Amino acid sequence: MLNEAWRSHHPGGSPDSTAGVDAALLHHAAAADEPVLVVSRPHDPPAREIARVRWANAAASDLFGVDAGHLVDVAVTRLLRTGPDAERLSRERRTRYAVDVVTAGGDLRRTEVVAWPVPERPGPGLGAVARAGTTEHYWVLSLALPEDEKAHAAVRAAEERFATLAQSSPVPTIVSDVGARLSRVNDAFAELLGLPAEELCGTGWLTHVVDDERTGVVEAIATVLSGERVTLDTRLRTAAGQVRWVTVRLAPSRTPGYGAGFIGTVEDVTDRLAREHRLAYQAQHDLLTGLPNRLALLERLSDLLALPGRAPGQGTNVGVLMVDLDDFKTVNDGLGPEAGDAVLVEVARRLARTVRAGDMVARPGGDEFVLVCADLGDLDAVQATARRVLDAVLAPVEVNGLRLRLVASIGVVLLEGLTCSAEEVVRDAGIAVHEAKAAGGGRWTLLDEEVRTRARRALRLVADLREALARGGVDVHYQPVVRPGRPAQLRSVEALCRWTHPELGPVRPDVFIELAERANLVPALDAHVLEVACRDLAAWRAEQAAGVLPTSPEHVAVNVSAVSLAAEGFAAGVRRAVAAAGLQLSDLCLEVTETALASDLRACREVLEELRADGVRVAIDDFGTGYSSLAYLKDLPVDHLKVDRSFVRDLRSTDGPARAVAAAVVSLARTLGLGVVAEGVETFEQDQVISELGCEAVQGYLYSRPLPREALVEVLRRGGELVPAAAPTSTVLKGVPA
Amino acid sequence: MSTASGASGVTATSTSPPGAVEVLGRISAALDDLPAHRPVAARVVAEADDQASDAASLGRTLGFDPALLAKVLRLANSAYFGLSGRVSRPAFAVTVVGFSTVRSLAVSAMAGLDDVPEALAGFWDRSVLTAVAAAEFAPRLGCAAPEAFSVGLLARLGQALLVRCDPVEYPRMIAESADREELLAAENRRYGATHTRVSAEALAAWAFPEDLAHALSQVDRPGWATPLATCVRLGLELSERATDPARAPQPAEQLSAGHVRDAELDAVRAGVTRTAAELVQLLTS
Repeated sequence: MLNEAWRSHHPGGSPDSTAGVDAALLHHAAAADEPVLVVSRPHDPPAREIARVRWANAAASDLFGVDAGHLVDVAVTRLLRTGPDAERLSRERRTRYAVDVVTAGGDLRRTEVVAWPVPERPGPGLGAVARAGTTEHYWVLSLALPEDEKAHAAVRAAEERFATLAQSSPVPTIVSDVGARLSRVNDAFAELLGLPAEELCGTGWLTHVVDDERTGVVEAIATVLSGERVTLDTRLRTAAGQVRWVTVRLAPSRTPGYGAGFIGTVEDVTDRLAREHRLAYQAQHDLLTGLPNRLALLERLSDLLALPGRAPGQGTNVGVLMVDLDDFKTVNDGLGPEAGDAVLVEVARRLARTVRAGDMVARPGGDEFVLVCADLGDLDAVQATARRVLDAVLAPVEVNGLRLRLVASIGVVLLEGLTCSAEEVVRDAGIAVHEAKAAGGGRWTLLDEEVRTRARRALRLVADLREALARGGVDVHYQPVVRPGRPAQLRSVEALCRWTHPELGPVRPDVFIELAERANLVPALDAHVLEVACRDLAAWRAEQAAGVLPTSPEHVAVNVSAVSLAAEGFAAGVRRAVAAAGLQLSDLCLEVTETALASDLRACREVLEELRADGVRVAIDDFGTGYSSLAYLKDLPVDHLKVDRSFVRDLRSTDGPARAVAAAVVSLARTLGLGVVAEGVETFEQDQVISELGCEAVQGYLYSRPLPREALVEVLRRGGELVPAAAPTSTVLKGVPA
Repeated sequence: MSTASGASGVTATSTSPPGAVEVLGRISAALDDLPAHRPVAARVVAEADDQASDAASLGRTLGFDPALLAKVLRLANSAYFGLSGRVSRPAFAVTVVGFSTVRSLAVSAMAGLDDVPEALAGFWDRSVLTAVAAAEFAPRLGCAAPEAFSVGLLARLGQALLVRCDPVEYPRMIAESADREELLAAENRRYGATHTRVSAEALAAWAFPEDLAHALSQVDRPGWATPLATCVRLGLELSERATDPARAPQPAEQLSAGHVRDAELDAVRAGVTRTAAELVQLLTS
């Protein structure tokens, strides 16, 4: 700066102004914060004489610890120690070089000198010395402040600390001082790639980025060099050829006067990703078959349903096929769950082969599979696909050395035009499967409007039935069981549930009981009937005791399903209902079907035996329709057999197979000490035969249809006498309650 | 060095051969004059050394010298700097190649190396080979690769100045020298200094950071040298091995005080040669 000022100073200026400028510059140099020395040495011989101080400012005095006046004439070499090249004063240009400052105390301080040669020119001022004496060359020496040097040293030390830390850090770290070329990588990074650090410096590391990731990495570098932080996931290939997933975090770093670089950490996330992928896979797949599970299926369907307008080519004409194995329970129960699993795996494999690449085969659960297939535009396409699936399942499956023939039912839903949720699609497919099964199985059903309407109605009925049960809206009717005669005498009653829908009117028992089974409402229904029946019987008993009614039933029979019987706490529930009504257990007869007993014989028997021991009667309903073997009949905890109406229907006064069977049943029961009730007696001829066979209890339209509570009370009021009347159903219906 | 009584390296001495004083004087004058011929390049050199400068300001300055800017951009887009084809803005180009490389290119422009004299055939091939090789060894020797690159690139700058200021004698010396070592000996005899020493003086004159100029002054001086100087020594050796197969190689161990072995030098040679070839193409096209 001083130099510039001197140079620009016009030699031809007036002596006054020249002197003024020189004085100002001198004043400036004297007051400067940086140490300044003016030195000179003789012209001739050049470089033989040592340069000596001619002037020093206050900052120089502070630096050397010597008064400025005492610095004058001191040899520069005593104050500034340079390298072996000796002093670097040049007459031609500014020079800059490192020196050790020798202070008064003998300390050495590393600093830098910038030396400006003072041009020789005529005129007063400092230059005049040169002119006047013409023996001296002058230089101005400006010294960098030691504080700057300290600051630099501190920065260097910090850099070194950082380098040491980064070098020994377990986190793979890369450093670029400038651009994309790495200047340093630490041991952890070298170890990650299995290569010496030198090979990874420069752009060497980029060759270890997996080919199709390189563009992304270079983009990231371009971004960080422009000053933004970047995080990216990418893949590196190690020296051993292994691919590692890494998360690279790059932070910009700028070195003044050097350029822009970055510092990056490279985290190996391969193991973590593998774990996450595994978990994600498990969340979306059925682990037995490896097929997508219910969650994945619903996601796929949701995506398809959400496609805007279902543009052609994207999710158009998508059909959902639910495939349900018809006899899977038999396989699972009969051969064990391992065999069942083997069958499912084989079916999954076959189904996967029947669909095209873009289609999906999922296993939402159990023995159900769902296929999501594109291009099912018309019925022919649906049929072809369904046919293919049915055939694939039909081929025999070898399990445990057995050749099994499986049959499937398929329910199809087409997504075209649907605006429902994925769950509803799956539910609808389930409804269609149910239809296919109801029609005999081994076939497919497309969920059309009719099926859908029926299903919706069924759904609504289930909801209404549940509500009716909750508020006691299901009625109990009673069908008298009589001792045959003219008139016949009422002995007991069978309680039967009846439901009148508030809008649809009476619902057939077979219809709503099937609904109850599907909606798992059977135990609630059974409990409701039991409670009402006990209460009614207790009421009639009380009225009889009060003399209002001349008679009351010996007991009330209540139907109990296998589900109820197997449910936890069934026996306790029975006891509670009976006790609540103020009755004895002997006032109750539980009617159980053969099938119920057969399905879980041991559990049912234990419950029944326990209740029977305390007085409950037990009857086998629909006897002869199931598979009861006569052999175990004697072991059953049973008091009565009810001969099924199918045998009674065919009874003729003349001999016939039906009569023979009925005779055998009655005879067998008598031998075993069991009571017999004949169900479904509708004609005088049937009644006649039953009486001849010695059956003492009869139930049927000939005597009475099931009666509402009030109608039965009327019968009781008449002493329990019933006049047989074989007549068309409608006549009986009208006649009985009267 | 044969300079007497510790005087500055390029100042003429009484023991210099006849004419040498004048040559050195011309060089000294040229160092003062040349910046005026490429003022933008001179400003780039000054700005690159200024702590207050950044890539944006340097990029702006470069924009005033289209030839220089084109070189920097071409270099930034080379495979060597890892961002092929992605660099279009001057500021980003400066970021990618670094201040020191920009400064070296500016200096070579200032020294008139856009048009290499006939006598210096293969100048850029050798210089770029030296630069790439020096940068290659920089991490092993613990110094900054960009600095090694930029000093390596300018190691032969002194030759250009010698051709300029001694246009008859120096080309003849080059032609008569069988290899680099012979040339260095001839230079010492005639000028009392080698061309790398002249290069160092140029860097000092043009206000390069002291340690860069200092490193260059040590390159052809026997004995211990800074790591940066060692990088350049190895770079020069590799470039000579690559361009002058007839020459007797100098052992890398000797040049690097045992830090780098001959085998290592030969191991990187193919890669360095390939990279350098691309860069030369970009710098001289």
